[in-house]
Amino acid sequence: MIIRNKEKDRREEEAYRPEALDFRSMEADAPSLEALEAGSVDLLAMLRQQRDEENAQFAVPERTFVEGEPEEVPTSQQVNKSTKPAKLPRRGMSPWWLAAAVMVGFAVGFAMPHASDKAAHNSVSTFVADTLHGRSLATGDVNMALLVSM
Amino acid sequence: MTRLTADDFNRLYREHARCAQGFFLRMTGDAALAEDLTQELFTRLWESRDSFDERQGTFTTWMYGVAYNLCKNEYHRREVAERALTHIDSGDRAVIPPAGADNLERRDTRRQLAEAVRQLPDGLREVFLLRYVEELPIRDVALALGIPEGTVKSRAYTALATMREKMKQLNE
Repeated sequence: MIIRNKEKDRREEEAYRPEALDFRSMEADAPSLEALEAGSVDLLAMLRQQRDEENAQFAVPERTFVEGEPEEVPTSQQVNKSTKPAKLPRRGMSPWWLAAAVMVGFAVGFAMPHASDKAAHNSVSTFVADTLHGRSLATGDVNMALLVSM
Repeated sequence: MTRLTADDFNRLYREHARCAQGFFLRMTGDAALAEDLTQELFTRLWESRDSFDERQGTFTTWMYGVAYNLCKNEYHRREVAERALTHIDSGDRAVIPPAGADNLERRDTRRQLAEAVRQLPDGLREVFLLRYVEELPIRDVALALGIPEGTVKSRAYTALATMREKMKQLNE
């Protein structure tokens, strides 16, 4: 059972009556934002001085923005629009580069005067010399030294 | 709508990067994070420069709007708010004291001031910084934060009154 203190309730009601609080007089006492700002000149000046001093200390890195740098990351909608798979970069060596590398290898082998295996050196030299002079194995002009060395 | 060219943007970067870094520092209380956020801010601004429309607000308003969003993201991601408060106790790495005879006294006042700003509740702190430290007009603060001008005014009032009270207590 709750025993109410009637006198206490009455006092509380009295205290919270609008006329007891007198909000209007409180609002009238409170300065406007403009007045508050005008009365805070010292505080604001101190804040701004501190801001200027702090900002002056920052070491902002040199940076140059150039047109054509990567721009916005495409949204998922933009990505879904394109169903064609992206072209993958080509990997591996081109046949032309491969042929050139083989030729360079032959040339280096031919030019080496101190090959460890004299027979192999001679056979390769002969083969290269024959090839360079327009005679190939396909014509039937087989170099026996080359066959022996193989 | 005039498109920002690379030259325009480079000039704006030189003019505003320090202010942005200061704003980030005062919002987060972390100097290293402020540097990172400044670079991220300008990368974002550069990437979305086509969306900038002078008729809707100045570059500064746009910049602080994006900066504020970055801060919010950072708060959610790392809970920087708590770190900012603990940072105050760890010394003033972020605030370099000026040279002078009254160095110690000034340094103390500056620390107290910075602490008072950082202790402002979320919602009041960004309004206070943009309005009274970065000196943006009420309208631009509202645009940057995406809130009505009336809300900016009431928050600015509360924040300024709170700051005055705190400084008064500190001086007593």
